[in-house]
Amino acid sequence: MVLSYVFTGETLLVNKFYRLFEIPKEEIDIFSVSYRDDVAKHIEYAIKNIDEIEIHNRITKLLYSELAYFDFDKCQYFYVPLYSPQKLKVVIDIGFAGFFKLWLNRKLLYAGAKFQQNKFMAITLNQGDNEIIIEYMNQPCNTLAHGYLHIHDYEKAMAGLIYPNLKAILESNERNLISSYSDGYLSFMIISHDKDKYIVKYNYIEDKQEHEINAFQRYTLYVGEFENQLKDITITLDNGSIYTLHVFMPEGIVTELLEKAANISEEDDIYVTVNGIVNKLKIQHLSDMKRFELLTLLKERLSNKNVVTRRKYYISKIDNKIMEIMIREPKDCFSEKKYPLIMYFVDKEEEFISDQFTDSNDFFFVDFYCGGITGGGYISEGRYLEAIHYLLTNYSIDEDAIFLVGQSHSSFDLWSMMIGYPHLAAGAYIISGYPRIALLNNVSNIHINNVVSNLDYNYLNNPNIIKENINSTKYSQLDLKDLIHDSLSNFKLYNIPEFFRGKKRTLFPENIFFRSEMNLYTKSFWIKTGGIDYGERDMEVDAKLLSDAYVVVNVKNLSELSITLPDRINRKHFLINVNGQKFEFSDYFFNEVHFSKTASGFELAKDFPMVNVRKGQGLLHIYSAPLKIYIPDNYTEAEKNVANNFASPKTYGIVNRFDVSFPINYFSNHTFFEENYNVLFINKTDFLHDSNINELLKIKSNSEYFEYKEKKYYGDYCIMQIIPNPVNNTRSVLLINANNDNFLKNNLLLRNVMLPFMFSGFHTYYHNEAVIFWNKKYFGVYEFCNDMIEIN
Amino acid sequence: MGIESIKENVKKIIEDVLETDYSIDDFFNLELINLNINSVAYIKLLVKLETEFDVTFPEEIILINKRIIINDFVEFIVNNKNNITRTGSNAY
Repeated sequence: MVLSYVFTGETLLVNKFYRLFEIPKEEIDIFSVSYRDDVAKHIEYAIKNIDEIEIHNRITKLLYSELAYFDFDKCQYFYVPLYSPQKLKVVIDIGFAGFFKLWLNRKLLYAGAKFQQNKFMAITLNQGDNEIIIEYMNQPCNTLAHGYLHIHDYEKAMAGLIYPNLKAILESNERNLISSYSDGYLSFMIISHDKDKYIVKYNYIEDKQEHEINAFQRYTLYVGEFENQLKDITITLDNGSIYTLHVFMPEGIVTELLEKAANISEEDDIYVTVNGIVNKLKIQHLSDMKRFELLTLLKERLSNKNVVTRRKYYISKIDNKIMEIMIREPKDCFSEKKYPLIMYFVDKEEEFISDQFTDSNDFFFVDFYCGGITGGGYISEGRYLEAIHYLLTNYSIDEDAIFLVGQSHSSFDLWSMMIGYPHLAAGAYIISGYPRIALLNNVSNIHINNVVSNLDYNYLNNPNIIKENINSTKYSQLDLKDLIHDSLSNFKLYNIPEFFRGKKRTLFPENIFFRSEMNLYTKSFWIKTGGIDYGERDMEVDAKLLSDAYVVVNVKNLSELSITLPDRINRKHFLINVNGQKFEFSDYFFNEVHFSKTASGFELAKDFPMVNVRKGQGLLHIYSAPLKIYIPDNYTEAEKNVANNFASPKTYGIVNRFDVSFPINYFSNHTFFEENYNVLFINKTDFLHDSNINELLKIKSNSEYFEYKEKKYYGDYCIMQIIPNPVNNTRSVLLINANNDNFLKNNLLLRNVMLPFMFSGFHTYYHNEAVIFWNKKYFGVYEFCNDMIEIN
Repeated sequence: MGIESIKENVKKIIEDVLETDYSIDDFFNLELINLNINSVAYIKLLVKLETEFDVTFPEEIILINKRIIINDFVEFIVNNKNNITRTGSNAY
């Protein structure tokens, strides 16, 4: 196999490289402008013996090159031959992890040392053969390290045909600086091709004297006197941009700050903020700059200084965790006015939309990281709803102008939120996510812009799948050509505020289509249902406000329906048509109309029944609200393990840890049923000793057998069943018991509690109201009274 | 049950769950994360493998992780199931 990259004017993806050789990391000079002499020799050899050269072609389904498995102590040299039929100005999109440098035709283009970095640069290709060399060193712990290059036509890029805002990014001329600190000496270098000399200032020199420095020249400063201070060393370029060259975070000061923080009592006003910052400092992959920022903030908060910061903190009712939310207020914001909100569901921690679009001062910009990747629903949904409630309660936000932004994994969350709560937001900007297609038309009243590319793994086989399935005039799609998932994710590339500006939510859209597969989701604008009919797996509503006097509703698989009447309905006389049955109203001055299905059809009803909220989510409904877990006081190791697994469930994301930890309590100090809580009981044996619980059970058991629908099943078993919380039907109780400890240990669903992505639909195991592991097989009860059926 | 038979069964279970025929030489070196497998199918696959071969996979295999290749499952089954007939090559 021979690599052959030819730039023809169409966007080119480079994700395979010749791997020339490797060297020990000690031999790297990060300030060298040219590459090592032996690189040239290797290239010369490679050109003559190209068949012999190893090709690095570990490409993931996301179409980038996997780089995570290289030795941390070695530096790799990759070679990419690139042919251009003519001398041509192009744009290169560099997406690379770890420490790396890139040379084009022996000219150093870029150097980086971040966890993962993206850079767009305008460059010129020679006519004929071009040589790209990449020096790459893996960073420890970066299990997701990857790399790719995209080459774009320059004219298309400037015309907005690659990304809408690429021209602005190219013109912003963001500089590339590299720096290194050792024994009091700080060295740095500016990598720049459009300018040779810079007038700069350093923040640590008191008189702020200006200095002239050259690009591609290494400078060394003595800054050792700051080693014992919490201090950043920054450089200001002549265009006003400030770059951090180094941060000092002496261990003694950090320890002192953390000790002070630990001594703050819960009653203290700064308790939540201080502990929120401390929690953030525990993040493993935080960059030094972010760590420094947080430590500075902590220091100031502990000194009771009134610091201006976008970082705000509150206590989550879900698990009492302190949550961080980044809030940038509109310019000259005053409380009498309501402002629109742009809220980003953060995909990668510490990458914020509120850092961008600084010229859009008419919005609240908010970043919120829910704690991990669930792919929608469950804990992440609870976290997002809670964050929105916090914002609406504490800030002057227009509830009819909530705009949500998702990117990559968080776009899955966002699709799921809009499908479940179509009336929540006025608009959404979605960068590379995927919805549950069967429920897609739930979002037809939301202004949506969806970024799609034919090389994005979500849309590889069908980039038009949304367009083909959605029936909405408010949906638009930004079709980008030949771009992989990773390259789509820079916010600056899109006109996000412009898309939202001027748009509003309407609470009474003329047409509603709503479909649900889970009884947790029963409302869409002015329509509410009583849930999916027994025996059915989904329900559907198609409702139309045809005039001020006529409403038509067609429903499927549901028996209770509630309509909230808009002001425009003529209360003197109007008509509602439900599945062809006409109901006439005169002088009707209530705001709602309820219908209930009988054997002969729908009729008017006074009450709205309780919904079985567990249907559709099954066992996982326990993650829809705050959860308390109970185990016996004399618990076994197996019981404790199961409790731990449920306290911190995994997700199916590329990082499968979710930052949540539900409390585990013991039977003896229980207050079992609390109104606001879901409850999980885990017990090796049975619950017969506790009549409070036993009488609630649908599946009864003892040490010899379990019994369901009057049939006894003998032998070893493990039962998982979810029932209503006796003091609040919208909350649930999940009971797990087994008559053999091994069945708690071996049951895969207890060992590997993993929240499924919502777009995948019905989970054949967890979405049942009961799952029984018996006779080495798993059996499910989709809803109680159904038969117990083996899950295949 | 021999190793080749285990490999054949593992492949069949994966193909059944994912409703895909894999006629790839290097099938057993495929990384699980790079198969077109969603969260529902993933649990289904693990359950089927565990029940079919009567094994309990350890956490390092059942966590969806990009380093896990299909061969890791085969290897674990071979090393943890009784009555394996070790015939043919060891290249599993």
